Amino acid sequence: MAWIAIIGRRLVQMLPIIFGITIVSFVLIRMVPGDPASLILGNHYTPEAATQIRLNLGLDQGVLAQYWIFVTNALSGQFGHSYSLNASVGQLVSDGLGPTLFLIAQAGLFTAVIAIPTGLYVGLHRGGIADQGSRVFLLIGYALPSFLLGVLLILVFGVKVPILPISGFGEGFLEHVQHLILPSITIAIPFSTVLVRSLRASVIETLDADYVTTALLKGVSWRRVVSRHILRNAGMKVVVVFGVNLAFLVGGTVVIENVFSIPGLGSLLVNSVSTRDYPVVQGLTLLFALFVLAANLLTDLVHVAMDPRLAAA
Amino acid sequence: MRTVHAVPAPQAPVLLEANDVSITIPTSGGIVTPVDHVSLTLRSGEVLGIVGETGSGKTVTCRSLLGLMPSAEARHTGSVTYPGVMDENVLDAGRGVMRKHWGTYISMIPQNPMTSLNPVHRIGDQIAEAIAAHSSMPKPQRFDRIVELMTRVGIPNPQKRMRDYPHQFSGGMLQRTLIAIALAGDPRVLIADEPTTALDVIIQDQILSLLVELQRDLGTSLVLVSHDLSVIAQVCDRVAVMYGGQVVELAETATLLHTPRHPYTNALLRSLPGAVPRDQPLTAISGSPPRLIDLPDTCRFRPRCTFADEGCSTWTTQLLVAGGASSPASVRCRRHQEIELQPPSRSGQETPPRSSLVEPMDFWAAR
Repeated sequence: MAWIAIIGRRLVQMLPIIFGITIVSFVLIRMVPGDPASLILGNHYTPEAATQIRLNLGLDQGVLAQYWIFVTNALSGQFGHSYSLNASVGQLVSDGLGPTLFLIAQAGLFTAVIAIPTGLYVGLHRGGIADQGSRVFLLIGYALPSFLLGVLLILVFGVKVPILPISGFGEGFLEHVQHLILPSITIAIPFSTVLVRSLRASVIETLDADYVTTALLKGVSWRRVVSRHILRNAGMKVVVVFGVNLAFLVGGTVVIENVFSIPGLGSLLVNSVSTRDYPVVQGLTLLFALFVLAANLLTDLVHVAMDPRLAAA
Repeated sequence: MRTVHAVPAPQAPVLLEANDVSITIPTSGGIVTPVDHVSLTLRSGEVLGIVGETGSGKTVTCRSLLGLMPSAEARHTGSVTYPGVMDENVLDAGRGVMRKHWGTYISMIPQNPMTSLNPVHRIGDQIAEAIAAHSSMPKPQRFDRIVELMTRVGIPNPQKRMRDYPHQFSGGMLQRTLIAIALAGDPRVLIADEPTTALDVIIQDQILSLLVELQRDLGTSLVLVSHDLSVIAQVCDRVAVMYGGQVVELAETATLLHTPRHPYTNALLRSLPGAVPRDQPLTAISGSPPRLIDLPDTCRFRPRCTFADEGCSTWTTQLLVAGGASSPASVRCRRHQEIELQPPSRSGQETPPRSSLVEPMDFWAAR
């Protein structure tokens, strides 16, 4: 029961946010200079043809009327047709969604695999060699721009020692995984530095907690104290950091997908913006925003599931 | 809460021995010495009280008895041993060695029950963890043992309450849970570090009564730390008075109360509402306790002492033997034989001590 109430409350809170996002996404792309009609026509531009195209696309109507059409269509699941690509927005998005979600999932997994053991270890051995040494790598990993890191990885593992594919998405699950190894690492390195820092701080704080002393004095093994009391409780806070950052990854994939030529939503977005493909940009902005909201909701739910004190509230 | 318990025979085996323990922590502000040359023994079945103001080193002392150091930077000299069980120095032994003794030989009841249980695990699971640490009993038996322990410490409806989380428990119930955890491995020594400080007065009395009752029924030895001399007076066989990281007086409770030898002990008694007759004024100790940074070897109570003379400023303190063979005591005061302390008189005594609101007790009668 408590769960249904929590989810219901969060969903209701999201409605005004979603409404706000539709306005922002609608207005922003129209504020960008450049006319879709002239971009579509290119060298064949004549004022008559441009007027005809605007008429066909509905761009001759007032902004409020256009917004009304966008919202009512969106509510019935229609996001319109792409101006430049011969497909519906729904079709384009569902084509690109797979690679993007795959990339986020694999990058998230890599991040967890790197960050959890590292953060736990340096937190438990504060001031040790690993802790001191990791600081340098954390700083570099955090400061290095991801496109530079991506290009470096391509150079090393694609050109000097060509053992991994450097572009595309491949066919079938195994090839997908293989193609996304380098992009995932590119995302996971800066992302895991954030998590390592926060897990380290959290572990250090938890080490001093009275309940850790209680557990220790029961005479249970140190391994058990670490897993059941230190990591479990320190992880609770880090899950929130992970979730919030995972949501922002959607935006981060735009650059990575271009560097590695992955046919995902990020590449689609860059294309659509440059051709002023209003329906696609609007649809994608809304989708990305929904993804952020969904990731936040999921994070909250995981947090509630991990901390019994929150379930009661 | 009147308790008349058998005073252990002096021949009772020694269960815990702290020998000249010092703990120092280097900090940027200087060297902090929370424990300075402390020696204590605890015999089987005995209740030893440690009393002192906040910052006198009580907590660090009693945690050192379990081999717990205040920080990774802390240095120690001296030794703590569990004679016959562990002759190695507890202060040098690592977690791996101490693990075998924690819970089964020695347990601790913490100062703050609200933060001493993990908020994300159920009460029953946390007790079960203490049981499982030292025995591999099958699940149904473990369940029975949890119920038994919870009943023993006075938690009503254990079958239901064991499924609760700590935030659903009151402070008193949490402390009962922690006592159950401490008892799960049938330890011979219990260290209770101000076990009632964080609780309200009525609950304090209940928890203290429970502790004393358990101590008597189970024959456990108990080290009870408190800043409340009236609590100590009711419960303990012997008392160590701590000041500035040092033991300044150590004697049997009755001896300490009737013939205090250290000016600080005397001043404490004269400031205690339960000990001073109603028609006499309470006397505050002027000044404040010393900070534990870069302390001198001379008497630390001297700045606040009404008996100090010039000799006191150069005397390197040491524990002196005082009292006869019948009531041995040690005291850290060079003038303890010349000065005439005036402990509060018991004539006209009728005021109950502060801590016993539930069941008023004559402060002197129990002795």
